[in-house]
This record gives sequence, structure tokens and C-alpha cells, in this order.
Amino acid sequence: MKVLNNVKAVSEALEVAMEKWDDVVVYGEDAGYEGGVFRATEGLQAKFGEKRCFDAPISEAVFAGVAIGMAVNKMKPVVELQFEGLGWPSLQNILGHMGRMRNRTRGKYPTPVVIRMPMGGGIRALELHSEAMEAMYAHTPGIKVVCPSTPYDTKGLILAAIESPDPVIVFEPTKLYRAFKQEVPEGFYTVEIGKAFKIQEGNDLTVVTYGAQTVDCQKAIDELEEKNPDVTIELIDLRSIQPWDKEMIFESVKKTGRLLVVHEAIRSFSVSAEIIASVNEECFEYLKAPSMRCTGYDIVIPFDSGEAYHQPHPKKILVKMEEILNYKF
Amino acid sequence: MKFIGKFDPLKDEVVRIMDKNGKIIDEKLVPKMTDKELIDAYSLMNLSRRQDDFQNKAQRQGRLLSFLSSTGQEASEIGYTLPLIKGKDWFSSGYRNNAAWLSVGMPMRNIMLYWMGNEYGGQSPKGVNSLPPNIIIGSQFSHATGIAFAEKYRGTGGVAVTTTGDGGMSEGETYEAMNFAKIHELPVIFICENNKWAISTPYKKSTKSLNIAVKGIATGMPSIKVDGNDLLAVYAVAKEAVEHARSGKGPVFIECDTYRLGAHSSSDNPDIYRPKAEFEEALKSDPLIRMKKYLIDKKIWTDKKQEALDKKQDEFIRAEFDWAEANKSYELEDVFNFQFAEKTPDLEKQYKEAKEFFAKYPEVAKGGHH
Amino acid sequence: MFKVKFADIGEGLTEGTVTEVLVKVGDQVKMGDALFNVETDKVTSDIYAPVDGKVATILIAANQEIKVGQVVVEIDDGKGDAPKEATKAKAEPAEENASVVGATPVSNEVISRKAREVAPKANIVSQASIIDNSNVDVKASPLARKVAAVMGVDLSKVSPSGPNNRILVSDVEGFAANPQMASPAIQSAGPGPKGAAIDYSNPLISVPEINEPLTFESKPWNPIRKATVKAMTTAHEKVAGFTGLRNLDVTELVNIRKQLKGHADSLRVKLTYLAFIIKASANALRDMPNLNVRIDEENKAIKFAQQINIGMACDTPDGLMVPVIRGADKLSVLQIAVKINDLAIKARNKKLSASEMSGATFTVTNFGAVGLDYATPIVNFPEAAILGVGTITRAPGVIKEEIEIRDYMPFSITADHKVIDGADAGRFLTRVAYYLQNPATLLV
Repeated sequence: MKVLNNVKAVSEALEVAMEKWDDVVVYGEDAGYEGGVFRATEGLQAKFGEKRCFDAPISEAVFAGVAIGMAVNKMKPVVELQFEGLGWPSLQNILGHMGRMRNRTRGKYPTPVVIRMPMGGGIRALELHSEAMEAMYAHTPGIKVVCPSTPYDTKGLILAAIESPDPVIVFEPTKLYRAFKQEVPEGFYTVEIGKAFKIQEGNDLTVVTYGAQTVDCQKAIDELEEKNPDVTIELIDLRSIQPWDKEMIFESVKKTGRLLVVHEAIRSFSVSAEIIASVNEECFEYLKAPSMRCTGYDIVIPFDSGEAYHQPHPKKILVKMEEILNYKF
Repeated sequence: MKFIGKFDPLKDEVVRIMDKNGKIIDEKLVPKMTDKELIDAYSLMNLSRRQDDFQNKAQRQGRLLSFLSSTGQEASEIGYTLPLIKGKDWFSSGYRNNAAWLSVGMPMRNIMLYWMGNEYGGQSPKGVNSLPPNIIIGSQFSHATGIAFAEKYRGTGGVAVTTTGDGGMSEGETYEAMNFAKIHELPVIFICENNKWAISTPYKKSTKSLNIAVKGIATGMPSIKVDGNDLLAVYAVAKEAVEHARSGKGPVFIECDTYRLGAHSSSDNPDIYRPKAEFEEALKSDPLIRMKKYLIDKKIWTDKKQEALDKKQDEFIRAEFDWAEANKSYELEDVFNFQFAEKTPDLEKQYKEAKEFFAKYPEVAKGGHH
Repeated sequence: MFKVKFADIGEGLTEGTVTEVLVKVGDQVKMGDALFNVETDKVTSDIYAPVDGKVATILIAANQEIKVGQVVVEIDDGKGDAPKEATKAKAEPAEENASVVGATPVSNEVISRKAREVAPKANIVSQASIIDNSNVDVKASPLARKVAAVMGVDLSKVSPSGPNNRILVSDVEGFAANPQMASPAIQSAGPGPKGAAIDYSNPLISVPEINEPLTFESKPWNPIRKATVKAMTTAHEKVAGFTGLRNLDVTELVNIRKQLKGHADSLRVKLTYLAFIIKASANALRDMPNLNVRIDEENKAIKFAQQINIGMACDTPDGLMVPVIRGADKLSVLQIAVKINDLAIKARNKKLSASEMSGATFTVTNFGAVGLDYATPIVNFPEAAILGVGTITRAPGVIKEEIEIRDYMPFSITADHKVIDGADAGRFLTRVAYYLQNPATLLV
């Protein structure tokens, strides 16, 4: 067992994958010599050579498309986009080709590309460096979307993504890259795509979140449970956004009768909208309160000085939890 | 036309008017500039450089975000912006454009406010047509093309200038924008400040092209390579290009051959990837040193004048910074008010919700890591 | 006084070594002047004054190890003694915080993967102030829960009638109207946890195979059965029966019977609802003679009866008898009650005379007595219509925008469509309803 942080878990996963499969290549802007702007690919070029880990020119539309071509021709490309917002030129290929090729060739040419992108705010970066548009990718047929929040899940989900026969987008919350460490098994293992992780059990409210907000939710829940010792909150880290673990969440909501979804992405047409709609369809008669969400507002993510207004904060989450728990049914 | 069509990028010909020591190579090519214009241009270069230095220190104190310095590229940025007419012409910037912003009339306090993370800093003042820093590389070329389209369409006579780095030329959008501009013969000048580094990726790893300038030839527009650390050369070529565009002859593409003397950003440590010898060689081509030598040779500049200028500029920079710090406060309204011309009812509701929350818990708005 | 701390200068360092101190106590410094130089694993860097002022204290010396967050220099900035911090020092930056843009928060905290577990909550009301735990482990729509909360109903006592044992709003309302009628909620089968899948294809009960051939025991008709068979056959052949159904709010009737019951008892009269119903029917027949008719197929005529004689169907051990109350329109409710009692006893004891068994122009049957709400009673040919009544139940009703507990009695009217139009049957029932819902009209 090694003790790693999230960003080192990414490197570990890539290293294990490159050892396991000869046809895995890793590339992206600055991903080669420097190891990426967050150092997620650090050491890979030194170990595997420039043929397998290299810098890509600033041309995301192309290098997402190139990855599709590689995958059609039986390689396993793992692309790093420098930041989610900077990677949008690639949308032409992600939305227009990546999830469709299998369907258009009636199964002949699947495109199991992996695209990794740092996402989310809270690192005092520049404009367009804090985006959280995971719903857009999850809304695209044929693409799987994951967002690990811990080192164990990061390594396991990236390896699952590389092993997957389908294209997978891996969102990596920048705020958590170095925020904590965890024991991570050596060598190859996977975390199943589509399975959530229950951080803690509880009886009175189900809180579903993913990414950096797992930490905010834990803080909020600790504060609430300290104030109300009889109340227990169930906290679920979604981990996988598309597909998502309906079974665990429905079961949890049937037990608690209450749901709060938390994410930093803007509110309208978001992941929380999908989860709440599904819970409404499946758990209607168990609900003791309206399902609610604590999210960013429907605004362009403010530049650094205003970002705190937008981001979910433990206090915002706490206020929402109390609102749901106090709802009389 | 002294330059356009005379210097062939396919032969890798470069426009250069003075050498590294500020000595004029070809008198015939020297642009007409009064002593005051020369000193003003040099003062702007000096101001931008000193602002970069100051901001690096302020960032070390946690008072600015990571910012992108123009250090090493002042001759290019001042050179291609000087021919522009304030209030008539347009600047569609990249993000490493400190000297160019100062030159087109962005107040320094705005630039500093921007690097403090406040969008008001990106707003150009009345009488200055400049877009905020562009973050997703390449799009500034499209925007400049659109602006130029409107100028031509309405016959208002304005010219648009836009710029990117050698890394940015890898974005397909830069070529697409140039192609569109040439089809419509639009009054737009495309600049590539080839500073040799795209963060950690060296120029030679992002293109195998003979140079950057040849990338414009395929679109059919005049393309030219210039020594980007030679203010006289950049200014002379840019002036000719602006006249060319303004007279309806269509766009021009200019490669400014320069060097990024600073880090990519103030969070970046270039020593990790940048060969020391290359950097030390590049220091010898510092555009400020070259320009200063030229002015001293011309007998219009002295070390004493330099000292007085530095002192005056440092005081100015400090005053601008103090103003920015005093005015950087960020109101909740500001994150809601500019989403639409008028807030939608739902957004209004979200604003009220946020307002109630922050009235109760103001400490949450303080930012930083929680 | 400004306390300058050794800040994390963006490379995520935790400590460094002072190489040289560049100022001395008493020096005037300006923001941006270098104070000292520090060497770290990554970088050698000058550390600059964050404010203008006079150097008051120097807490470091060359070759000294310093840690991020440590106060290194104090500068008198003329701002009083409140120490300000140049930057928020991080408690424990861990390793290289490398990012080319921005700064990722850094910590060495080690998290575990084991989820916290809690015991499932027993189905009891918790004392927690924040949360109302009533009605926890039941299935009910949110609206049903809302209605239960408004009506003060404990959902755990309500029988579900919805799909998947779900409690509906109507279940809540029914319970509120008639709590003693509610049966305990059906428990899900099996000892397993609620919701666990049960393998119904492997029951733990054995079932014997039964293959006896079909056999009969024959019993001849008694006279009543003979008469019934004949009457029903005729009715089946000759009557085009049409049945209308209606649930009547009879709260007023229940109240008036309650008021009169003591009075009736004092007169030794058994006052039943049937007495009121027969009286109401008689009055309605008087108002609407077109139901008090017989068909005359031979002459292609409808015969309007000049008397109102009401048959009352009686269930006896030997079969169905229909004694007749003659001139019911001319009798008071109490007199009808006496007649009902008298005739019912006679019927059970087979003491009915021929005249008491004939001449009916209309019949009332009380199948509520055998537990039915509604039925489609069969017309007692040659009469043309029959009124059936079911059991009174209590249920919530809407009275002037308020929910009230009311009494309801279901009515069925079957009429021979050959002589009575459906609309008239409906109007007749409406008329009966008028009398029963304004029962005082029956007493005057």
C-alpha cells in the first residue's frame, strides 16, 4: 500500500496501465516533458519514452479527433485536457464523434478513448479554469462520465476507464488534487464505473454529491450531526455520473425519505436535475420532503474574487439540510 | 510598400532594422518617428516591464493571482499597437499582452484589478476598443475577424489587430479565422508573437514549419516575419500593414520573432524545462536593452533620465496597485447582473436566495479555501 | 505593526534556509523591497516587504532553517499593534504544489475508505427536535402524508389500498371517518428485512393433490323456491331491467332517527331506517305516478296504479318473501315501522296471508342487511320498479369547503325500461333523496 494524493493516484493509474497494455499512449498540452500543468503525468515520458507520452500542440479539436482515430485502429489513447474550459475546442469531436462511432459503424469501430480533464473551482485560477459542465458530457449518448474524489477511486476509475470498451470522460476536481492522501493498493485494480460509494450511513437524509463537494458535505454533515445527535445523514459519493448508481440512491432515499443533491455546477439542467427527476419517478411514495439541491447559481462562474459567492460551501449545504429536515409532511 | 511583399517568409527572410546593440542596419528602412515618439514608446516598454516585476513580487505576497507577463515581448506589443488609432481601431487580445494593453489605452489599474480576479478589470474604458484577455486560445482571431467584418460592412474605416503565441498557431481556429478574413478582404492584422514556448512545449515541438509566417501564405494574405525584439522593425511593418488593411487591401499576417523571458505564469517555474543556455542567450536580445542603446546612441537618452523614469514609473505603479486593492471588492450583485440584459425571473429568485444567505452568513463570501 | 510571515511562495514548499538577510532593524523599506533571501529545494528566491515602513524586529539570521507560516520580520507600518498577516499560512503544506496556473490546496491528511455505519432506525418516534419521525416506515404518497398530517392521522394504523401496499389519500380520509373500521396494515411476508426479495416459487408449505370427481346431492324445491323460480323466470323474460345507483348523504336522516328512537321505543315501536325509506318511496311515487305502473302488453297500454302499495323483500330461512304495506302513502313513518316489524315476523314464521302477499305496486329491498352496498335488484313483475338500499357507512364529505364526517347510504333503483325511462328512474331516486335528506318532510 502506498499513501498517495489524488494527482499522484492519476500518475499511478497511468503508469500501471502503460505497463499492462502496450497500446496505451498518454498525451496532452505539456503532458510529456513537464508532466502536465498539475504534474499528473509526471515521470511517464522519462519511464516510457516520448513515443508513448508526449506533448500535444495546442489543438484540442484535433487531438480529441486523433484519439478517436487511434481507438478505431485498436489503440488506447488517454488524452489530458489542460482544463475543462480550455478543452472546449474538442467538443466537436467529443459530442459529434466519440460517442457515435460505435453506433454509426454498427459496432465495427468502437472508440474506447479516455479523456481526462481537471474540473471545478477553488484553486484561485484564471477565468475559464473553474468550469463544471459535466452534465453536458453526461447528456451525450455513448459517453461514460466519471468524477472520482479520492485517491483510491481516482486510480481505480481511471484504470476502469482505460479498460472500458466505451469512451470515458474522467473529471478530476482540481481542488482535491493535493487536498488529502489515502492508502492506495499497488498494481492493477479497478473501481466499477456506475457504482457510487457510501461515505457514511444515516437514516434521516440522503445527500448525494461528487467531486470537491464531498469534502464540503462532510463538513456540513459533521456540524449538523453535532448539533442534532439523534439525526444521522447518509452521504453518497456518486463517483460515476453516467451511468450512475440508481440502485444505491433509490434504496437510500426509500430508507431516509429525503434527498439533497450537491454540486458546484450551475443549477438548471444539471446532474441534480436528473437525479431528482429519477427519484421522483421511482421513490415518490417514500418522500417526506421535496427533494432539494445545493448548487452553483445559473451564472457565468465568477472570476476569483467572486467565486466564493458561487461555490457550494458547508454553510450553504447545512442550511439546505436543515430546510429539508424541518419540512413537515 | 517597403516591407510587405519584399521580405519572403519562404526564404525565412526577417525584417530587422537595428541589431542587438541598437545599431541601425539599414537606414532606408527606419520608420519616421520623432524623438518624443521614440522616447514615449520606450517609456511604455519600460513601464510594462516594471509592472511585471512589481506584480511578480505582489503575487509572492498573495495579493494577485497567477498572471501572465509580457517580459521580453515589449517591442513586439508596443510596436504593433502604436499604429492603431484609439477609439477607432480595435484590439482583440490574447492573455500575455500587458504592454499591448497599456499601449492601446487600458488603464494599469484595470489590468491589476483583473489579476486580482475581478471582471471589472477586463472592461476597457470609454474611447478604448479592447476585448478582455482571451483565455481559450485561438478565439481572439475569430473575434477580430468579426469585428473587422463589421468595420468593412459599415465602412467605418477601423482596423482590428489580434495576437497569439507560437503555441496558439496550433489551434485550427487561427487558420480558419485568417482564411475567412482573406475571403472577405477584411481590415484585420494577425500577429503571432513567437516567444518560443507554449508553457513547457518548445516551438520546435509544436510545428515543423520553416517559420510561423509561412502559415499565412496558404490563405493568400501577405505574410511577413519580423524581428520581434526590434521596436523599429515591428512598428514599421505594423504601420504598413495597418495602412494596407485600412485602404481595403485585406488582412496581413505578421510573425514577431521574440522570446518569453518570464515564466508562463507566476505559478510556473520555467527552470524545470527551459535550457539554461538558451535563456541566457535570449537575455542578450532583450528588447529594452536594444532600444535603450539606440536612444543613447541617438543622444536623446541618458542613464540619469532612465533613473528618473524608473522612479516615476515605480511610484505610478504603486499608486495604481493601491487603487486596485482598495477597489477590488466584489459585490454579490456583480455575479448576477451581467448574465442577461435583464435577469430572468428564475435568476432573480436565485439572486434573492443568495442575498438572504449572504446577509446571514457574510463570512462565506470571503473566499479562499474552506 | 505588520508581522511578515514566511509565505508559501507558490511552489508548495514547507521550509527553507535563509541565505542572507538584506535589511537591518531601523531600515525604511518600501513594499517590494527585498527583506531576505531564502533557498528551498526548488528555488532560491528573494522575499519582499509586503508594506511600507520601518523594520522593527528581525527574527531570522543567515543559515537559519525557517518554516512556512513562521513570523520572520516585523515592520512598523504605523498601523498600530494589531498584527496583520501577509498571507494565510498553510498549516502543513505537503509536497510540491505544482500547477502552472492557480494554486491547489495542499495537505498531508490521510483519509480512510471505510464508510461510517449506523444502525437502522427503529420505527419509533425520535425525540430529536429537528426532525419529525412519525409515519416513517410506511409507503404513502407525499399528498397522503400531507393529508394525514392535517387530519392528525397516524399512518401506521391505516390500511393501504393502493398499489404496492401504498396508502392513498382516500385511505387516510376513510380512516379518519371511521377509525374502528381500519384493519392493521398488511405486513409484508416473511421474516426477511422489508423490501428483501422473496422467492415465491419455493413455498415452505406443502399442498396435497385433490382429484375427486364432481358429484351432487339433490333437494326438491319448497313452495317459496317454486314461486321464486317462477317469478324470476317471468321477470327475466318480461322485464328490461335498468339499474341506477346513487350514494346518498343521509346524515340528517341518521340524526332524526337518533332523535326519534327514544320516542319510538316509548311507544314500543321499532323505528328502522327502512320505515323512512318506504315512506320516502311512497311519497316519491305519489309525486311521480309514472313509476307506480304496470305494463299491459295485450292492450299496448300502461296501467297507472291508483293505490301505493309497497312490497318489502324479506330474507327468511326458507327463501325470499315479499309482504306488502298497503297505502304506504297514507301511513306515518311510525305506522310504517309497526307494519314492517309485524310483516317481517309473519314472514319468518310463514304466517303471511294472501292479501299481505299481493297487490304491491312497487318494492323496496334492503340488501344492506346482508352486507351489500350496491346491487341490481330484480323487478318483481308485474310491478315496474324496485328500490334497493345498502349499508350506511361513515366517510369524509365536503360541506361548504370543509371536510366533515358524514353518513352515506347507497341506493339502487331498477326499473323496467319498457314502461319507465331511465331518466324518470333517475328523477325518482332524486325525489327519494330529497325526502330522505330533508327527513322532516316525511314527518309532516
